[in-house]
Amino acid sequence: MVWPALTVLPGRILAPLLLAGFAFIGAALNYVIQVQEFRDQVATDQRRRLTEILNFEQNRLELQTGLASRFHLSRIVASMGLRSAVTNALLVDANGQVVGAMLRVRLNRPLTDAIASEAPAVRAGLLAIASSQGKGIEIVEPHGDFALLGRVAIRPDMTLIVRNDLGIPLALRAAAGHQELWRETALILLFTAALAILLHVLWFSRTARLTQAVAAIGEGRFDTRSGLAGRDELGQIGRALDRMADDLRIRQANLEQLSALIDHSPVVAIEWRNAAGLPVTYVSDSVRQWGYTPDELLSGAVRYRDLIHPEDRPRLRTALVSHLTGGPDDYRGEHRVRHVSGQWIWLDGRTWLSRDASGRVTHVRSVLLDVTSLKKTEEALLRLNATLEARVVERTAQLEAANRELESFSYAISHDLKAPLRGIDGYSQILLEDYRDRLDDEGRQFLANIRRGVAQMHELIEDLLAYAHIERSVPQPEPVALQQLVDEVLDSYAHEISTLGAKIDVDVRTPELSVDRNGLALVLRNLVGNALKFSRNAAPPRIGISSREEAGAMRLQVRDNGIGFDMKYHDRIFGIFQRLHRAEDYPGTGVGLALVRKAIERMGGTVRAESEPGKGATFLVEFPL
Amino acid sequence: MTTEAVSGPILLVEDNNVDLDLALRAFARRDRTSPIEIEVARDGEEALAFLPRWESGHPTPAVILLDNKLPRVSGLDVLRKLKTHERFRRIPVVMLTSSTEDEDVRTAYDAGVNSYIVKPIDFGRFIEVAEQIEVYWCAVNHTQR
Amino acid sequence: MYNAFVAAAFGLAMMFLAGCSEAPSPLPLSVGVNPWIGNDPFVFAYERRYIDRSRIKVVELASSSQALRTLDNGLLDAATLTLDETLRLADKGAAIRIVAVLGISHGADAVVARAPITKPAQLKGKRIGIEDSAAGRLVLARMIERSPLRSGDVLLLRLEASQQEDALRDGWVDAVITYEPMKSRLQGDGYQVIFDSSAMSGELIDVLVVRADVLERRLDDVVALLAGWQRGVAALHTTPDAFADFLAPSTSLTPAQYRAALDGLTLVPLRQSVELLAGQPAPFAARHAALAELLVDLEMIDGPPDWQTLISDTAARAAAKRTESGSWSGRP
Repeated sequence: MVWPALTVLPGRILAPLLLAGFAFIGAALNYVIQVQEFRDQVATDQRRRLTEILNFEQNRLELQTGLASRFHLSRIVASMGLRSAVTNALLVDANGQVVGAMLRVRLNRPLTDAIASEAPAVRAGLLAIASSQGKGIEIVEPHGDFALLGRVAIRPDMTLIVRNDLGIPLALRAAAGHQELWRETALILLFTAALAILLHVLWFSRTARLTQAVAAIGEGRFDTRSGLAGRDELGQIGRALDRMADDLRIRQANLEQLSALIDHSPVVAIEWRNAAGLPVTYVSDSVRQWGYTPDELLSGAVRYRDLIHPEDRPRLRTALVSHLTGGPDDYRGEHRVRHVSGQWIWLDGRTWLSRDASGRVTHVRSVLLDVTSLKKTEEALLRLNATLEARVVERTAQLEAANRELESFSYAISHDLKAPLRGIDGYSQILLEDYRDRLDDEGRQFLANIRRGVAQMHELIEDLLAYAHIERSVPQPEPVALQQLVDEVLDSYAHEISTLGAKIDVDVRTPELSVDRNGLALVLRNLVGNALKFSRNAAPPRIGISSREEAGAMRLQVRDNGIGFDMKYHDRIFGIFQRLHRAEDYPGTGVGLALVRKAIERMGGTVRAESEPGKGATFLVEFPL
Repeated sequence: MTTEAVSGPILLVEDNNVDLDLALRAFARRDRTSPIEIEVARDGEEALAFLPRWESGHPTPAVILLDNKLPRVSGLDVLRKLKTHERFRRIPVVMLTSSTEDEDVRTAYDAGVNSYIVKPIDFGRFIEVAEQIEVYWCAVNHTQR
Repeated sequence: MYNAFVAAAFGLAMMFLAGCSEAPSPLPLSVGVNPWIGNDPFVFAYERRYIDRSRIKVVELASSSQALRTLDNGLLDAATLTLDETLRLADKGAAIRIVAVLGISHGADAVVARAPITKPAQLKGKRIGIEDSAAGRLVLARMIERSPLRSGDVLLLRLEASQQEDALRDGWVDAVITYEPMKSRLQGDGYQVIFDSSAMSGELIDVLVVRADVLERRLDDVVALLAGWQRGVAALHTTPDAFADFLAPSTSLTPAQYRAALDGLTLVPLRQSVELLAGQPAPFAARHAALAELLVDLEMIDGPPDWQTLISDTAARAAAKRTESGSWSGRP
């Protein structure tokens, strides 16, 4: 009765009509159901929200209990009142005393007293949940009170209980819900109309296209495509059609190309029929490069199996069997065959199987390429690589370990050694200033000694850091104008030079050299500093800095007319912490020249000194060019 | 539209008790006529806890002094979070720390620090550093008006 | 088929009706108070149910600056603030109204210091903890004015009210600028008050501030709130012992200490509030013009406020009428 009536209408009219009808009914039913669900949704929503609130507050409060500030705890609980649906929040300790509440007046009272002013149903609910023993977060819907009660334990021995009203959120939700539903319905109707129009247009135009494509392919124009996309029946037909045309085109092209290809390449192509003995049904002319004629293989006079190297035969057999039974139908492999002269040829073979409609393999085909020379090279490289790699890995690991240790060592010095020094210096200065009148001269002297000791320690740390830093830094060579660098270093000592009345001779004859700038600056600073220090008492102090190119090397010289030293100590002075004088006579940490030597060595140079006691000293630095 | 009449304080982030006490004393001893205000955070987490408070209206500092070595959240992480924050990345941050490593200085500048000062061992020099920071702080507050 | 269409038509009709309605806001009026004991009449009234809890919610916050921010953000509908905070908030452009005068501080705000400091002059080169509020800065400014100190002589450490006691005890600061009940607690532990608001002749005054849009839409609730305040004040005057016994324990003071702390401030009954706020110009404006000038000098506000717009006596007037016609008297 109904069916005939429906089929009278064309699909393009019936579909939209049905869509609209169902959309209306759906929207109406949806509304009716939703109104029922509001209450449940609100309860679930608020329950989750309450869980989040309890979790959040538990974290916040536990952080504070560690700091043991009661006042802070109560403030945090009090501010929970800002959350809109929360009407009560109480933090109760192990003795039932309230230690946090939304109102200050409820603090430091037993729980029953604190909530005496609440309605009976609310009071009962709060007391009940407070005495529960559960672990973790607990939320209940009490009888006779449209609300949620939540509870969570706060370490070490406190409990947080919260009442979250449900009436307010429900009213808000209902109001919003009505607006929502109205909007939803309007949208549904709009989209239905649009969809109907779309279908109408697409149906016809696509059917027409399909018909055209079929006709064209039938006439042999295999390049034609229906161009129909989509997952519906039309789309499926269109795609099947496209695939078929594709297939036909490819087969045709393949056939033409294959014969041309094989005729032009050194590759050997063979086809076997999948029958007993694997008879050869096709072999390309290029097989003559192995010394055999195509006829020999075709007729069976020479069997391919016999040509395969005995070591490779079982492997090839297994591979073929496994691919025949379980696929995949394309695979690649290498094996050796015997040239007619007796030599072995390595072949890189690609094989593919072709199956008939029932899935049985009918033919096996391969193309084979001679890769003998490649193979030999490959093997040699692999052997070499293995040994090299092993050595590199080992060495790298060692270096990394050493570097890491050094870095953490420097860090420890940098931070942990310097921090207490600041404290010692700071407080002793404060003592000197604020407690001046309560100390006698001796006391003040002691404090001055303490501060001097701190300053010395600081200098030592800085020098050690510089030493460690050089150890791990990578020199960055760049073109350096030596004259300019020397001028800069002398500038930084300008004050001392004028105070001592020192005379400086600079004779730089090497214009520019490629070296790490910071490293060379460090070396010059230390050498010049030393020269000034040890020639302090000369009248006047004379310092000479010169450089020239000699025998493929750059020679830099720093000379002074100071107290000099005995050459038997030559190696010692470059050692770390080695000093020849008492600290009172000539200050210093004993690290300066060690720094110089390390820096120069890292830059690829050498350093030595020449001197006689009382006749000054000359330091010679040499860099290869 | 008025600006916040009282200028922003200096926010000092320092975990070490001795360093904090000496810093406060250094600031208290300098010889100036205008009052100076300081807010303190004791580690990286406390420093970052200021961000939501600033967003809800708590006054923002005019300068932030940050130590590099802090427990849990490092000074560098705090610096990065500050300098990538939409609203607060323009607050000048001065790294006040003990490390002289080039690596640390470079990383700090890459992360956007405005200035890098090494804490001197000598207390007298530290008072000078405090005075310089105060000059900077006054200048920043003036430009905000 | 027929039934389906009937159901659909019915559903459509429902949706039309539903879409047209608009629900009133069911949230209770939120009032923020800070730990200042001058707000205790509100707390008392709330606990004793003189205030309808389904319409009004009293929320206690950590400090007055937090109350200020939360009011500005819109999460609170009303708050108790000091007058200088109110003027600063209004100066920023917030639409607020002063609806009642609550209390006047006579010593309840103070500077408390640790030994050996006994006079303001000894604070030179020392550290003071201060909440970031205008009231605290006023107390500081007045103390410095009356001592040989210059404002650059002290270092100020910003601390929330809840952090101040600990900072003083641990030695991070040498003094704090605080108020009751913290002040009495510290005194009880042996710290010294070296300056207080009794030297400030009524400059620190508390008012009830309501957002302008809230005052319009929910005048009834504001009136109910003030009526509750008045009952609280009346209870303090008629039964002071019961009042102190009820509220002292939560401040960690004895009832006697609590009553002594209350002596440091004067609570203003509604009748007097109405007198101060009524009229054009209101006497309140004239009385506190000097404070507004001081704030302009300290550069805390740009210019004097528009007193006319700022003050509203409607709610206080209605509340006074309601409480006087009740069976209990509102007179102290």
